[in-house]
Amino acid sequence: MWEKLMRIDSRIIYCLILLGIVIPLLWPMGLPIPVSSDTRKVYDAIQALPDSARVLFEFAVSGGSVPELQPQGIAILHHLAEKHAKVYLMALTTEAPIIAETCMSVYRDQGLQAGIDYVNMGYLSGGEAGIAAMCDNVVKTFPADMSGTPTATMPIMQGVNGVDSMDLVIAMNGSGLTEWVRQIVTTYRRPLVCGVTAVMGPENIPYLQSGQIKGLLVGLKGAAEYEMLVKKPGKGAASMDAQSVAHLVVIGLIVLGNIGFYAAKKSRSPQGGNRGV
Amino acid sequence: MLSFVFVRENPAYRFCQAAYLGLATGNAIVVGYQNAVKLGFKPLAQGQWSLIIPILIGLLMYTRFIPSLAWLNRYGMAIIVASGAGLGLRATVQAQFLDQIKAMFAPLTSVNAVILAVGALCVIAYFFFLKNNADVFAGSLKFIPTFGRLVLMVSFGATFGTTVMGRVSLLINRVQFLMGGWLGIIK
Repeated sequence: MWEKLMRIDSRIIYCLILLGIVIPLLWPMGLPIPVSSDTRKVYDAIQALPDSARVLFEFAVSGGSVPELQPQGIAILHHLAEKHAKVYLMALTTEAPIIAETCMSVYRDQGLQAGIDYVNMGYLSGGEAGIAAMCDNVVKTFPADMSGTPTATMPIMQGVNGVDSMDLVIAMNGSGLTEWVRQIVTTYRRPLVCGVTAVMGPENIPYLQSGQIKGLLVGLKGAAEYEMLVKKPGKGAASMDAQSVAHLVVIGLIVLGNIGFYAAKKSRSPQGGNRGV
Repeated sequence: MLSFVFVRENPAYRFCQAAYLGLATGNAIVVGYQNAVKLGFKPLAQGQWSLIIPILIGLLMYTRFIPSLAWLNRYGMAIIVASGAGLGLRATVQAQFLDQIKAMFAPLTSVNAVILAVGALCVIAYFFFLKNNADVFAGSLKFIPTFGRLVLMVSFGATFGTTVMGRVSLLINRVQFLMGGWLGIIK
């Protein structure tokens, strides 16, 4: 009997997790969303920016990371718009520029304009070599923006040389921060805040702990926390009830599996004897 | 796509998977082509003749499809790998070794700092594969690699937990799309 707990049909597990997500979405519980210190550090770094600061924003959202990184990006863009920051968007993935352009509706809805208040410079090839080239000279690396408009003539590009012209760099991707830390922080000594998917969180926390990056948003939870800080609740906050309940379901299933494992082990032991499973 | 969970491999799932991969690949090809024209061929046509060198190195990568010229591919690959490695190495020692080691030895003024320092040292001790390892960590010192293994297990548990969190986030997004954007049941 106990071994059945270890061999629950996976379709039943999937149904339970699906119910754990659907029910809170239909009937939100309004669970509180405490803000972690890692998220608050990102907020403080952006809040400390002067008015009309220049911010280089790597918004490398791909199909698999949209659910986590897009809410983070939108929340941060709300904050940057409040600070009237000049945003220089770029990405190391091919599908990101299109997604970033849709997110820039945050700026456009406030009357902020492309070429003056923000520029979507598009895809940057070459990985770390591309980042190094961009750090050296932004205009030369991006001669035109995503729509083909020459960047050299844009008002937002006046006075911009390399990454040393930027007040803050934001790196948001699902593949890791190693290249960004090496180039932006270690080589060019610019402040860096980051947003990563939940899977990449533990791998990149050491950079925050060592002070190499100034703040870190992790996953959809990080997005929800940031939405609370900027008082613009969105997809992140709306998902937290479902996330909490789904996690409880997973914990319950893990506990059941472990109960089954140890009980089955005990019933098979010489002292326990075969009790008929 | 979600039909795979309940019905395993089926024609609808295969079609959607192929369509997604095809769309992503098509987009990548178009963006890559636009990039090559924007950064390479257009400036070359406008008189920046120095770009002929990186363009030729890039073209060498395609020689692998011509059997008689495939050996040329190695030169292009070597230059790309070497330049990437060089750019990365110049800051790797500082970023991934020295700064991390410095952070490990922060002042022991908080519980977190003590756990970090002790945990890191014990984990390093766990990976000592000495011939007489059993003699080095014997008796009262045996707890050191044992504690290191415990710390490793906790860190793997944290990684597993955040992985679960990430996967659940993906599912929540799809359910929100199905219930909100498609069926209109939620806002």
